[in-house]
Amino acid sequence: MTDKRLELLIGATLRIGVIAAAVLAAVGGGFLLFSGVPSKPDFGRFLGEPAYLTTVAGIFRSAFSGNARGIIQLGLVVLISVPIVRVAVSLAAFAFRKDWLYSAVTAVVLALLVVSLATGR
Amino acid sequence: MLGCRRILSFSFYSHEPHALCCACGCERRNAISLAVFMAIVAAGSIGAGLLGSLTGLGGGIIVIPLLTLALGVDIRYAIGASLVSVIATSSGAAAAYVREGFVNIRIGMFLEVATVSGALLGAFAAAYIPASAIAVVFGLVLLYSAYVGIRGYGADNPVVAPDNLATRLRMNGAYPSAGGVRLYNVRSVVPGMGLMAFAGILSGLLGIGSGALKVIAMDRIMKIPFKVSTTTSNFMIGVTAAAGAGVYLNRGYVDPVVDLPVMLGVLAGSLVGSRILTKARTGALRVIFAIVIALVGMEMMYKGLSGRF
Repeated sequence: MTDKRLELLIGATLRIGVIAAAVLAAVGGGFLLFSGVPSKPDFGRFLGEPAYLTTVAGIFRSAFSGNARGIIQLGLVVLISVPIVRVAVSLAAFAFRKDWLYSAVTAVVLALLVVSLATGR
Repeated sequence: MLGCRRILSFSFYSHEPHALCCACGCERRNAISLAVFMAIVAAGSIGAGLLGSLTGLGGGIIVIPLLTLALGVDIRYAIGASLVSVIATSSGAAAAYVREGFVNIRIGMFLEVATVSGALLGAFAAAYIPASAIAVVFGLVLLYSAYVGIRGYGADNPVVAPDNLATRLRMNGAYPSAGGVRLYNVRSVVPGMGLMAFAGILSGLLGIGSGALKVIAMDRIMKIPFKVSTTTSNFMIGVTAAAGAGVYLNRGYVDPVVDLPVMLGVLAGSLVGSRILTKARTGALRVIFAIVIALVGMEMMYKGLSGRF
């Protein structure tokens, strides 16, 4: 795989991820604005978020049950995962072209990311 | 735009939902409707995405004040929004920059080791180190860099002789410019890594994207051409932000109503910005960058000195 191909692959990964996230969030936003669901949001005080919006499992469940906020949140989760997926794709690409130095470098970054997410820092 | 629909509005001053009917002669209370709130945030976020994609920064510098000062949103929701803004700027702009050949992927990946490690360290150390002191130091660094940046108006880094380590790491590269493809060499990899780790630590400690230091390290220390520095910084900041995003999501800092317009606005802004950057003159970009980091530097110093961190 040439450098140019690596660039196109990573560029495509980022683009697809971003579009998927944006579409999901926009759909959720549309539901929210046009369904007239009563809500009492008050962003002046920090109230946190209900559980169905803070855990990945909860977000998936609420999104698939058609909850507008859940769908938006799912879009946000997809957005957050884009850089991580990008690192994973880069790792695969470097390994595929037998670039062991950068495969190792990328693997270290991915491992650090996983540690960071797992230890809940 | 939504005509005479019933939009449930919410007030920042009371907790009761009001019916707000625009064109039907109903009384408009002292409240902002959901749609208007989102529109304001989206408009500001477009600016944030635009600026972020041109300078290699994350957009949080616009998003946080917009939300906290202009719209009275709690700082924690603003932090979640800033995170979303950084990831959106990063992914949105980098998608274009990588394809166009500006981003130096190898340098980005290599430096990410330092920056993500630093972020982890910074997060752990956050309990032990006073954030205000760090903020002041950070502010000073930015102000100094802004000063140096303004002095060097118009001059991009000249091509330097190849450095042994950088060459062995295959970091030297090329980028597209008006005059065709330009080659460049990279120097001072180890000091660059050091500053990256510091940038990561700051990010973990202060919770803000460290795009400014990334650009400064690549531009000043590693002698990389400016457009490569900012685009590679864009490429990197998303990863650093994503590392912390899971935690903020769990803590409830990420709100769908606040962050939806942030995400869409920033993405739109970065789309425009990435088109502009390819044609912009490096000198103009440097000046914009210097002005922005001067402002951020002053903000950091103010917050640090007044103990608001």
